[in-house]
Amino acid sequence: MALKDIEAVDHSLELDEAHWLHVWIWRLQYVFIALVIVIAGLSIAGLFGGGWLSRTEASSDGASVVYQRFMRYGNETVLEARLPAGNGSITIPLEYFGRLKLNTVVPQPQAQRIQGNRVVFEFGATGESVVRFHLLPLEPGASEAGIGVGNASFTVSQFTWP
Amino acid sequence: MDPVFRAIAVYFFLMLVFRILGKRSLSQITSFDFLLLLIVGEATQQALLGDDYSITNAVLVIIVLVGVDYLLAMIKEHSRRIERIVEGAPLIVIADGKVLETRIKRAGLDEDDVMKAARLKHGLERIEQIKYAIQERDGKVSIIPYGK
Repeated sequence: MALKDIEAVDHSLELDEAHWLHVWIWRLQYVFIALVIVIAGLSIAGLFGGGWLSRTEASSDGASVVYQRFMRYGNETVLEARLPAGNGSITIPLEYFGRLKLNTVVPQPQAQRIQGNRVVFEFGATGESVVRFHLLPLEPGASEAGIGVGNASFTVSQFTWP
Repeated sequence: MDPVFRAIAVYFFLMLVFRILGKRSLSQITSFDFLLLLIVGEATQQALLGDDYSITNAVLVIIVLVGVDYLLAMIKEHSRRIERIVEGAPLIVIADGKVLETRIKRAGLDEDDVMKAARLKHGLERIEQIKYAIQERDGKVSIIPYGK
């Protein structure tokens, strides 16, 4: 859409149509429609949490973590840790809980203690087990935390949308 | 600080969306458009207040919204260009009884919309009786019939 596409009118009205503005807005409408399609597509894909783009899985030494790379402020998210047989402890930095509020842990840990700047959750698992941390993002922005699951260590990088 | 930024962000986002969507949305609201506006209002409320339902937060949000609106009105008074950008400009869609196809289409109108205004305001029967039809800044259609 260009200025020349608007039909010229030789009128007698005391009226300033500001053609440039109409053309500008009409162009913006195209951009807006394109943006709506892109945002809807990315949202379905998980850019704002919940889709394949967001779901991240890492595994090492029989342990694994599954988490959402993208989260939304005030919207609960789940960090899932799979413990290997024979080692039932998960360590999470204290700082992580400053950015995400821990709502619940399923199953409940047998013991929980603070060791240095980390929280240690002990499950005393004899076999392989899955632990789910239900977390509530408290502040927008990027965050990174080193989470220990059994003998393995994972770097969890997440981004919280406002 | 949070409610202040929230209110400012929501204000300008809504202004941008409704400005881009066109004037038709403001002047000819269908029952579904009305329903959509209610849903937008509900979503906006969440974005504005978050999980803070205190009177202080509500008062802050209202003050900021009214303040930004007042400030923008003052800026518009001093700058015609900004006034045009925010409020829009009128557009002639029919001239000398002829429909200007590109204009009327881009304005989100059709001949029926114009004829409705022509019938209501001047009792006109045909497009040829219209000298000018103008979509005004507020989205309404003004009709100037021949002989005026």
